[in-house]
Amino acid sequence: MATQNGRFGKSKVAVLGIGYSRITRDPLPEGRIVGDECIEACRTAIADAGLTPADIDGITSFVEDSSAATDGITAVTPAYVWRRLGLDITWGEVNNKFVGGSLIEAHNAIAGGACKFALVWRAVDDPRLPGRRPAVSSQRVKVGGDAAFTQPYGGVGGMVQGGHAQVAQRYFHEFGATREHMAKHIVRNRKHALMNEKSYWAINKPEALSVDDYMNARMIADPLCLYDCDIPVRGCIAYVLGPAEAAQDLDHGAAYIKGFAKYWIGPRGVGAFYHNGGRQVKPALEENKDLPAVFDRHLWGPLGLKASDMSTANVYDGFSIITWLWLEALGFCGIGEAFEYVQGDHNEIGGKLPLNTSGGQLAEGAMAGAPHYSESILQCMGRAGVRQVKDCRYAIGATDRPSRAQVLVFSSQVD
Amino acid sequence: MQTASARIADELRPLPVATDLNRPFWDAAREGRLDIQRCQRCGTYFHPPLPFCDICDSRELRFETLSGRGTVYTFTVIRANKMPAFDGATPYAIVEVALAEQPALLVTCNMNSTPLEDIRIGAPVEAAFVDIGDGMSLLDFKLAEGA
Repeated sequence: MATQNGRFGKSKVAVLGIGYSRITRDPLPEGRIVGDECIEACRTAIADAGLTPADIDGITSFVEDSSAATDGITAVTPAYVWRRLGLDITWGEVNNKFVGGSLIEAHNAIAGGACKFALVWRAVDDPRLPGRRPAVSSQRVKVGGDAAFTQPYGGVGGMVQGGHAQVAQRYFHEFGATREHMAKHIVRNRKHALMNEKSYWAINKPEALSVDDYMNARMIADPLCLYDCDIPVRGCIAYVLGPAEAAQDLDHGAAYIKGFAKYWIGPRGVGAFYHNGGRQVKPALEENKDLPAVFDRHLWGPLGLKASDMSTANVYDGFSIITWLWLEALGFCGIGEAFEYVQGDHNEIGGKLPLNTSGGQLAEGAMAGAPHYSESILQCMGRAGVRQVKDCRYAIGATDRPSRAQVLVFSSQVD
Repeated sequence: MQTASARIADELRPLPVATDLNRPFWDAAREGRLDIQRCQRCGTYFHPPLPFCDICDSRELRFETLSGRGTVYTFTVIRANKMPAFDGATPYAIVEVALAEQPALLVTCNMNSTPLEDIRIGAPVEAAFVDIGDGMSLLDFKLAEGA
């Protein structure tokens, strides 16, 4: 195992506490709103860190919609949590993309002295949930901008509009992968989710998935089917971060932030996932071939670690194919090899690289990457229960698309 | 050549709104031509159009008529879509065509006159257009002659 430190050096910040609300697809009880779920998760995380709300002086979250009319109902902003918990904050921010960005900004705020204890959360009331879907217009709709060049062709949902089904089709063609290869991955993922008492499937529908179930599932957009989509939920996961030395006061383990890479800088950023608005970027699969060198330079080098040093990996699966792209981009396997790599027992709990041990977005719930970070954190804290990876030293959480990296590496020790 | 889609209710399809930036594309499509924006300094094609060249920053971009030839880069088959234009048309393909003039110059389209089983990655295709009413036409590629 590599022990020399790269640019990141010794961990300055640790995740001290974590809190979950119930993760569900059901309507909330009468009179209860997602804001209530969020506050419950935040209070749990603060108490888990051995703190009270009076100790929290920094807050941030990823919020898509921060209008006053929807705050607390479909999204939960820092302003909402600040008011409900009666906080006295010195640092607060609304993050633009995914929970990984929020965790990284909170790390930097603490490391830079802007605050001492930061509260981070992801609260979601997924707009894809039954009852939240907008009615389909019976009239002709007008589309402007770049969407005028795609929507009239009948793309539906993030799987197609985001290009994921198309990328999967090209991947299958180029490398010889099949749905049978994906079946193995999805079946194991469900198994992991059923070992996770906080996952959607464990809580709401504790049923195993077989290869046949996968192969016979309803196709959504070839070659991807129902079980290749993440599962929309409502709920919240919250985190409390603080100075690494504060971990000594905990009655449980901490997850030290070893380092990270983040370069989401908007839709014209370092390569969109697909041919983004005609910008002169490569198609996703071509771009992914460049990424192992990028992550060597900007992640593994500064960390002073290698992919093979990771005890476990929780990589994004908003759609299943993204996990394969991540495994290749991060160097866990070669380009075009992920579909074979995930066939092996090494991705089981007890294997060399247990993969997505919480069930991820596919099976714990779609929460903008929160399941991938929270599972990495729990594994490093040594609190993953029956899913616990033995001697978990480093856990990597990586979300969004590889070309828009939001990667954090957590450690069970300060080093 | 203007044709009608086999099953998609063309008159209900989402209607593109032309802008000053992209109007030449739609004007050409109506006349059955595939015009794509090109930087006059460095020669790079862009689709959808841009206000300036994303490679060399030139503001001098013009539309040029392309051959309409390309190959299927990738595609997907949509199994369900409740939008009225598409509800009766499933399953149908959404295809990304790599145009012949530049690597990975992708355009999104349907191939509504082609049986689904004949749509394959790498297949040579050529541009056709479908009139969707309200003065707009959309790309609808077909397998190239003799392919």
